[in-house]
Amino acid sequence: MAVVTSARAVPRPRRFDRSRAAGVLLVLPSLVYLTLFVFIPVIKAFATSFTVRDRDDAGNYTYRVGLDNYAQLATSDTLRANVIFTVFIAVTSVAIVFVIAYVIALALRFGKGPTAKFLGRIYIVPLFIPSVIASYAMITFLANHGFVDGILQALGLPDGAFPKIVFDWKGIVITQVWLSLPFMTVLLSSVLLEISDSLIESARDVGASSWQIFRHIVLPLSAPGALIGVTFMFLGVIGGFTVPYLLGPNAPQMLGVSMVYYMTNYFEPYIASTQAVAIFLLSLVAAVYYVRQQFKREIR
Amino acid sequence: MAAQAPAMPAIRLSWWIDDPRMRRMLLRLFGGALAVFIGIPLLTLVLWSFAGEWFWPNLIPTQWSLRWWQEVLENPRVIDAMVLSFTIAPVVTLLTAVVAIPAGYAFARLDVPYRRTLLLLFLIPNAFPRIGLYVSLAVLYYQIGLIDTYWGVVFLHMIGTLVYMTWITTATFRSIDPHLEEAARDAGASPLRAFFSVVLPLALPGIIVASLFSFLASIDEAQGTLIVGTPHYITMPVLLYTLISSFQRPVAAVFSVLLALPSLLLLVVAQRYLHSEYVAAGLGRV
Amino acid sequence: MAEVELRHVTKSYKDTTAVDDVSLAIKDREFVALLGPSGCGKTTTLRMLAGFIRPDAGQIVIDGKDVTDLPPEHRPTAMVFQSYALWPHMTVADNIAFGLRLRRLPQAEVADRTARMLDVVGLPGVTKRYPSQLSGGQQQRVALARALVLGPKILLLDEPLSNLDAKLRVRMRDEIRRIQQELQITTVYVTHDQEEALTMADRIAVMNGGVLQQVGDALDIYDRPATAFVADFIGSSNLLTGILRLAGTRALAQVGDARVPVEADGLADGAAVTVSARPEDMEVLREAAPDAFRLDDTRLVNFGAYKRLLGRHPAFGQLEARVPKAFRLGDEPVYLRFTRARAFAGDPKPRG
Ligand SMILES: Nc1ncnc2c1ncn2[C@@H]1O[C@H](COP(=O)(O)OP(=O)(O)OP(=O)(O)O)[C@@H](O)[C@H]1O
Ligand SMILES: [Mg+2]
Repeated sequence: MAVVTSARAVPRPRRFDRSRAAGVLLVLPSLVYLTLFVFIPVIKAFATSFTVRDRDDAGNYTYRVGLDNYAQLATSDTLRANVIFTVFIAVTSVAIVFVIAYVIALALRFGKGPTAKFLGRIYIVPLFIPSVIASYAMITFLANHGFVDGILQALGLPDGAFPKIVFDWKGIVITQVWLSLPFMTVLLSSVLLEISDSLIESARDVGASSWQIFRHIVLPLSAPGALIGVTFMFLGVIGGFTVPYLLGPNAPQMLGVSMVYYMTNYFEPYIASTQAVAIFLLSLVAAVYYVRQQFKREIR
Repeated sequence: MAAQAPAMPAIRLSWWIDDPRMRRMLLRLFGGALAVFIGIPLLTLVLWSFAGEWFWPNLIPTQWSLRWWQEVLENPRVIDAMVLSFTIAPVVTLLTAVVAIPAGYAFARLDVPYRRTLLLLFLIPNAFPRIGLYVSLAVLYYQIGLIDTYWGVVFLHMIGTLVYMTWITTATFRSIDPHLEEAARDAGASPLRAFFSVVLPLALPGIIVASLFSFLASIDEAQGTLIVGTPHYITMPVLLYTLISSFQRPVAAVFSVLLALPSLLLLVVAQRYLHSEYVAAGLGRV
Repeated sequence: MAEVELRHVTKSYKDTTAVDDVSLAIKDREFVALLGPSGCGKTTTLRMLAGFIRPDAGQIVIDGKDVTDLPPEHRPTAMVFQSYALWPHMTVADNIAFGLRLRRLPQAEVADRTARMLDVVGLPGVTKRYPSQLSGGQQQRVALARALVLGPKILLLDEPLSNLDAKLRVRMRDEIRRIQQELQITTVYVTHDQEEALTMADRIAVMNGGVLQQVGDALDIYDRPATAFVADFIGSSNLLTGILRLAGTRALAQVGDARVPVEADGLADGAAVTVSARPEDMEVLREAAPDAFRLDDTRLVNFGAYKRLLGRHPAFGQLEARVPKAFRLGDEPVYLRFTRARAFAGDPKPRG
């Protein structure tokens, strides 16, 4: 046996832990950055939304804490309409993108023919187009007296019968669908890739039809991953500006647009911040879900 | 083992899914429709940029011309915006890399205290609606004098790129066998030397993709720049806002094509690097 | 000259003590195998020697110098990883030369030593290739060359052969031993394969549950296991529980109704013991005898050169004996008598 005879050794003194120190040091810059440019603005947005500005008889401003901004958001018909409009747009575009992206993802996962290959090449294109350009392309494409209108004319549609799409909710939704398609498809594809062939084959083995396999195996197994995509896109649409600004109607407005107007045109940071927080609260369920799911994936 | 399952209720509406020929036909139709939906709007823009004269309802321009290209390329506002965009994007990318790569490495390898909480904090920028964040940031910028400044724009662009690059690099570093690094230490390399000789070269593909996306995200960022950069820091997409609003259709079209070029170039160059996980995370930009 | 010593080394993680108060002295030029089941702390021990893990308590001493707080790059050790850990972005030559270049040796010497080391491991002429272009066995040799080229005082290997097929494993076994002898380098070799340990090592250190069970040469640990765990883990043993009875110079273990003569060093009369006997130390009887154990449900397993007789005792469970290949089972029951057995204090498998 070993030769050492002394009694059990005393624990080594806790030394300065280099790995932990290095860890802190390396994360610190990004943390400082996030604090300054994300956390503080977010906290300030909350604070500002509870700040009320009054003007006294002498014309001086006084400030106090209160819920007046929220009351205004809830009682003003315009602002309330904006909130409802925003949610409507977000839900509609997410639903449409989800369906289209799922079909593409299924084709990419299970299809082998040239059509599947072709789909795999084109769906990614919008990812590389800035949203301003996409919005503008959609305007020229869908406007009255635009490209589609022209084709329909050639096919015999009477002038003026083309519905209003641009500067209407339809324009926003179609453009959001266009822009978000690659992300949703990529995400769903990677989720579908995680479903192993053996699961599908064993279902087929017991006599399930393609529809039954989809309904009872593919869909439930892909649901958790798919929901990450849904929530992420929901957050993006609800907090977006470019598309509704360029393609949306003057009223009602999406909150992103309305917020910027209040900020830059009326210089009303209070109402603007209140809308920001309102957007945040509207998407809170989605946000919490998103963070939790992403977090689980990250931690593993 | 092909015992018929206790029949799940068959859904009649779905008969076509089991018919391969029908399925193939529907898929082709779908593919065609998708190609039209994605491709034609972009094609229209290109046509517009070369249109000398295009009166509705003609389906293609009645006269071709490079007039608008010349006009755009000689416009000093356009040149200024291009120069600005292309000086901001590399700075954003570089700063992001300098801040995010160490953090990604720490998250992947080192014993960072409160790691879980920190990772959670790194998700906040995506959970809070972006435009709301930009508006708050603008208020803060007014107070600290960063509004309408070069660095104000740079720091705003970094919000999206930083989170994205941190995630990508964390995943990349984690996928590299830690023994490779230990083997370098064993051969006598200092921690820094081991990082630069072994870890960094192996992580390069991921870092390159992340950098390219950061570059693009910065070139494309419009909504935040519009809020904090006007009137002096007009980048290309912000200028496009005004061009679109002023209804100069061919001019805006030329400018759009110009602005889309770097991204499309990247699409061609980077295609083999585009692993789906990068792309998925890359869509922090909506 | 390189001696290594672990002094009361302990390393705990949140819920496990991976290495528990291990002390081990390794002599110059000695080849020691660390042997034990999965999760017993072998890798942790080796990584503490290399400097990748810092012990919670205890010391690591190389040639009389306490190196416990030295990082790996300042220790005279070189490690061969289970996964080889060859740098995929460097050629074979660059992999081997990396450490030499760090030491700023002249170009010519780097090339010379690299080539020489490839000769030593029997792999000349692959310098320009990348690791992915090599077979598993070749990668293994490159990893060995990379570790040896720096002339380390101590070579550490963590299950280096576990990714190779059976044939190659046997060949590399001899090869590694040959190189170790040639270079006369102190070596610690981690394995869970007892055949590897028994055939390669000068001494074997058996670990279980983070605790060092026994250190000795192959004969020691096979013939004179220090604990019931070692008896069971090395080769195979029949383990029974009983009470020790000392009668003069003779020791007997009362196991059920039977009395089994045992070797019992330093155990007291009346102690609860585990009795262990090798399958080859069994006598097979065709009729009942006072000290024999009846076997039910018997069956034979053919191992080519010999057979194993397996059966179940009503009280003590599965027992086995090694029998000649001509052995046949009849209808009548068989009985086993222990011709040689050892007694250990306590339950058959403490920890683990
Ligand atoms: N970083 C760690 N964190 C927590 N527990 C650990 C860590 N590393 C090792 N352990 C635990 O310590 C014990 C010993 O691990 P070790 O890797 O040394 O075993 P081993 O003998 O090499 O096993 P194997 O033959 O499977 O490689 C195990 O129970 C393991 O789960
Ligand atoms: Mg191990």
